[in-house]
Amino acid sequence: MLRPQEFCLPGDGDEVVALLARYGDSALILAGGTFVHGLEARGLLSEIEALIDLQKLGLGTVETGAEGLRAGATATAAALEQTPAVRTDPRLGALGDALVYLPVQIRNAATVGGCIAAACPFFDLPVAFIALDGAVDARGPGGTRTIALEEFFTGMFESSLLPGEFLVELRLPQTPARSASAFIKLETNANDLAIVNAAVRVTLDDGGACTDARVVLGGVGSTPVRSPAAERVLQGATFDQDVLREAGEAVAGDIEPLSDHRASGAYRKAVAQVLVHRALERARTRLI
Amino acid sequence: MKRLATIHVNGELHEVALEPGETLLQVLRGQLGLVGPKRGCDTGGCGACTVHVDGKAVYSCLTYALSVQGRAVTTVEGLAQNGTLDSLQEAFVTAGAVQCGYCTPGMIMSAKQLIDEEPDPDEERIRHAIAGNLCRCTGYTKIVEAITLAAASR
Repeated sequence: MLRPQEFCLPGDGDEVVALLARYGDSALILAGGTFVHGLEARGLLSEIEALIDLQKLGLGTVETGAEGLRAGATATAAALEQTPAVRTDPRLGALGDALVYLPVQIRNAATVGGCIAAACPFFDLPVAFIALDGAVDARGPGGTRTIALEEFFTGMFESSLLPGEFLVELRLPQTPARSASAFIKLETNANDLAIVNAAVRVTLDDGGACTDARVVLGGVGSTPVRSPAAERVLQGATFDQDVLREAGEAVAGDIEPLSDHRASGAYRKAVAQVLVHRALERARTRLI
Repeated sequence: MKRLATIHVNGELHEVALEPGETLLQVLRGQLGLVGPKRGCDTGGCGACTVHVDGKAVYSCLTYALSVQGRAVTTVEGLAQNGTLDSLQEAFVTAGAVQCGYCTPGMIMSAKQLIDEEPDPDEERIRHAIAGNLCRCTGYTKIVEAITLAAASR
């Protein structure tokens, strides 16, 4: 177990910035806390002296409206799940799908900001967020800046957050009306990180041709990975079984999955193709 | 360095001295003598340590004790009222849903959130609700029966 010397409960963002300045690399921002042990087990927290708990910052809400979805960094997965649009809007289908996999104890504690900042390539929600063109606001000593999630993840447990910065908000922009998204995950049991996961989003025009597509995979590299090849297959196409299967197969050229004790790279590559195909089928059923 | 904090557990306030990295599970078991929550995996994978914080099930092994100040913690010991077992506890006895018993307190706390929120859960919802709890005796059938029974008795 982590043995920090300090547990800080700052009341606002200015205090967090000051604490991060004081403790530097020896500070760990705490939101839900559900993956602290995971980072620690990987030897990433040996220097941590201070935990900075964000619960008093008032960042726990989720709002939806004409501009899309906004979630504070400490909004829990349960808060996302209870958001009506997440349950019913086909455009947010990938989010609803991804939330189903979390056990209730994790849903109640794990947060939007935590699952992003941890930069774990086997997490589910970030893959869904990228498929929905998500962006985060990071606050630091120089103010607040926006980072597209696609550019946020830079390596295994590494992100583009600078020293002294912390996440305050996630935004998912509204996608065009005739859009749908979906997410599927392969795991070994009900409380497991993904072996492979996939999120897709598609937008169709009035004639049923695809005008925009996102295909994103997790578990197949050191960060979530987009598949331009699969997206090219979908772009302009009318969805039939062949196109969806072809798009699934196309991801093989865009990924070089790692082998570990849970699955070989070759297995992950085979599974990724099937999951993308199935996720696309699921998204299509949401467009009918 | 330890600091003094007040935590609210099973309807009572407790003044405790806490290390910054101490988990809620360590404090419940070690300082308050509440050994219903079990230390199984200690990494949020087995569910044996499940308690409620403000009515929601969480893994107490992943919860920092200092983070629950001002919030209401309920362990399995807090369910019985005036010597009368909670309907879920009764149902676990009636259905014979206990084998070695190690997972039982956590199972009950996860199930409690479900039946507090959903009046008539079907088997799929029940199984989903206890997906974060492992029973190494693999006695899930009786556990699901017990939760069904408890939901019906409400």
